[in-house]
Amino acid sequence: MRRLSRVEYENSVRTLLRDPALTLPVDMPDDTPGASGFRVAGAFSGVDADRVLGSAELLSARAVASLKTILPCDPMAAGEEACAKQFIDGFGRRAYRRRLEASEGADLLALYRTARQTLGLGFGEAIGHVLSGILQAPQFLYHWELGPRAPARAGTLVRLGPDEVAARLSYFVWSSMPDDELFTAVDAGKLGTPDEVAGQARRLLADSRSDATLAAFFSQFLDFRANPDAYGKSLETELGMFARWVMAGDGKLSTLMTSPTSFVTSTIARKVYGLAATTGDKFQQVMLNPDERFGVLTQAGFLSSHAIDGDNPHPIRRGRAIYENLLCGELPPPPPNVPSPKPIMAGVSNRVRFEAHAQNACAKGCHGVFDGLGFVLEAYDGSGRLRTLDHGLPIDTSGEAVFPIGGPQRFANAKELVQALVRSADLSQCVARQWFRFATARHEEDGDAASLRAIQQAFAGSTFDLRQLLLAIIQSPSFLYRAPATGEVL
Amino acid sequence: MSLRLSRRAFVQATGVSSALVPLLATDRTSWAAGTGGPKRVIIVNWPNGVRADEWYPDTAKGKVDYASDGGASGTTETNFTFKGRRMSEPLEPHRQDLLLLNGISLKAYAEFPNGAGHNDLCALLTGLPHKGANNANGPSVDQFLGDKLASRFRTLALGVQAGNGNKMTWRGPDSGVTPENDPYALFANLFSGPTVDAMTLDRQRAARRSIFDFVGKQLTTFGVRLGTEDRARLNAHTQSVRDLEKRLVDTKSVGGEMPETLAGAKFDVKKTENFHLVSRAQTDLLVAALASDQTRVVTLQMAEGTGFNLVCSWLGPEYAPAPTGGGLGNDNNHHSHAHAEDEKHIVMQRWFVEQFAYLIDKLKRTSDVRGGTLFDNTVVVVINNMNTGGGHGTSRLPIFLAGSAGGYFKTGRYLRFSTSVPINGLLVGLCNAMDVPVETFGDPKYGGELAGLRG
Repeated sequence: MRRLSRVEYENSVRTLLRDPALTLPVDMPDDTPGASGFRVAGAFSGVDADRVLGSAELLSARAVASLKTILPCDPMAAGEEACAKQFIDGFGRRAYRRRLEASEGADLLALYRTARQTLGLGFGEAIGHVLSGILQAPQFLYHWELGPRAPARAGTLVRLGPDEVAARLSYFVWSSMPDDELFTAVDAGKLGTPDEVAGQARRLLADSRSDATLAAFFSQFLDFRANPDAYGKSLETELGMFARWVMAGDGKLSTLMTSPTSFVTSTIARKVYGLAATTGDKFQQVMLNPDERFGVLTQAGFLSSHAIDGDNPHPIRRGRAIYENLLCGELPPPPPNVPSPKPIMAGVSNRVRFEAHAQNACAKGCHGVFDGLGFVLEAYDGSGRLRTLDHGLPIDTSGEAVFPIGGPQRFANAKELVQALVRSADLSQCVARQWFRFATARHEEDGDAASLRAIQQAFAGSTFDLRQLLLAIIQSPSFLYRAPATGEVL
Repeated sequence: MSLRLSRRAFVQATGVSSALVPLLATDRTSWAAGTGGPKRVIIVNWPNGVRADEWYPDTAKGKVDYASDGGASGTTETNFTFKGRRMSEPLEPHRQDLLLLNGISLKAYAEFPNGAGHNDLCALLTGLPHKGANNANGPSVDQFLGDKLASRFRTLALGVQAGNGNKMTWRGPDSGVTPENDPYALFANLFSGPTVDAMTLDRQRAARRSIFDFVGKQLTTFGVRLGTEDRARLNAHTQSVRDLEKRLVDTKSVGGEMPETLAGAKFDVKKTENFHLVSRAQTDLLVAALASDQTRVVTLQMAEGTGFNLVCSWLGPEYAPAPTGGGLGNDNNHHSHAHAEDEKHIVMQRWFVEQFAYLIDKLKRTSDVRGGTLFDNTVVVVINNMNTGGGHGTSRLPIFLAGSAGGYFKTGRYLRFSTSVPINGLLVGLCNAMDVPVETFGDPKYGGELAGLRG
């Protein structure tokens, strides 16, 4: 059971209040990396309680000011308490992502009555009071898959009900609560079979509400770090637009990894790719030089995520990102008291500067495995520009590495590196596992073995179509069922 | 039915151990013997280590090596000076009130494969190894003390642009405490409501109480069937909500002055160029909180563990942002200079020490609730979680205490330990000084109070 992340909270509030353009009045605490490797909500502590309350109070005050947006009835016509009940049932169903139990509805009605009678609030303000309670309730704040009723068992597992599946689906693909259409499908009994789930999944994936989620996955997958300025944001947008372009096109992993297509502003085009300035701040699709650029690893975002001392790339960090995130290689943390890289010196290339510490006998065991992945990319400086000289010296773009499954590799240049990655079992299997972790917000466990096998097979069978991968994940037992938690009362 | 009254039902319903349900210890005070006020502890963390030759009074210039234990062993120095030590020099006026320590290490953390000093914050104050990356194995000492000494706030866990990555304060495993990084929010929480009339305030309280009752009921009803881990999560949530209720509804808010730093045009508390403003505001507010006895325990984490995002541009034009072409921010960031152990590192760390001197000075100039000064009854523990910026080591951490906690510690001394001494003994000393006596803290195999703290 995990809490709604900041992103999920904000999106859910916008959907719930039917105000897609809503600016959240309170800065909620940021998400932090979880066991899955992706950002999730952290543990709930004092600051969270403070912000949840502040946010709920301000949001409900705002909602009261335009109550018609969320109130399904006219209190004058229907009678106030009857209208309040209607609101509680309908709004509560959406907020809690399931039908309210009788006691839950009664608790909310009691809150309404307290507001009207004890606190002396008007009808609108009383509805606001109920809304404030809902926005602070655990049923809203948590991905609550426990339900008030005894769960449906399927052997040792628990079969998720349609409401729970709908929520998992929408939070995975949209980082938000289900929309009306998804709720309708659930209520009509049309989200039972894996086929029905896949149908809704395709709809959600095709919708532009999935863009931000795609972007969030890929930027975390590539260990993307951008300066918090306009340029940094534009690099994130480039990555997001490219990912969307791939998913809307042939959807292939190989396209993601090798295509010279990209999306640039004038600044990016000029600064990184040596293209003539074109459309100012607006993004346009371009074809980069296919002899120079091969997919995400040679785009500005990834390359410039790891730089040091001006425009020097940091090959160790680039190599580590590829090894751990793209190949799912596991590296122990560095020991303490590791000396820093030597300062920049005339006549010494960046590569040599960083090779020095890896040649140390102690470091070679780990660094020999992944440094080469970064050395190959020395052809691109810290901004991602292509270069042939570094500190006046010709660049050595060769590299060696050891893939976790594929074993020892050699590459003469970035093109060969990317080709080796695309050919490898390491990359495709790792991509599948990373998407699995992102979708389930947890690390894979022994019980997921059968699901992962089926997912890998479906991915391979589709020639590594990322959309088929996501559908396979969604239809897998790991997504449609859950294992009971230790100590859970079933 | 407020959460307080239903605590017994809650405990029965969730089967949670009573250790997790805190005592509201408002009636428990710890009065310093012979002086006016209760005891306070302030724990401050700052990043990226020091240079030994610019920190310790007795380290020769140019010697920065931490690989060996080196130096005179097992000694106490009363005749020492910070003069000529460019990082620690601002502490010179307070020398008689300090206990400078040389030799404390995170032994528990170091015994397990670890991720270098940047990731040790989750083990800094627990006396235990970490539980995986950025997860603690038990409560940090501030949370332990806060549970025993809670007043309006259990503790004030504060930050200066900190805690998103690595946290220093933990209630237990999987239960990090996010620091309050926003001085504007902190001010409103400490001193809310002076301009609102009593009737409106009462109505607001009643409204909030009804919400808290409602939320409490949802938490207890649906917590019943959860698995063990999830139940612990929900307990942490419940506890936080109850703390909030206590603060907002059960206790009266206090009037207070806005610190000078916040009185002008509102500034963005997340921008690194405002780090010094946030630091000053948080410092002023924590002193005000202690003076108005709203808490006895404060922690202040200054900057994220890595310091990558910290650019000290207020120090002068040479410290302005110098963006790399790429995304590791900035070549003028705190982390990079710490690695280089260069002149800018010295200047930046000196700036931090000037903030500590400011805090000590302010405590000395603030009266305590029952006479004397706040400083008389306080101990400030300033601890850097790495020894040097380059090495990331967790042995021989730069630590000093300021203040005697009402005469418990014997200050005006520089203690050198012969071998790396586990921090646990210091944590025990802090608990004892706060009149919450313990035999051990964290892993009991590291023993009791560190010898030498009291003379």
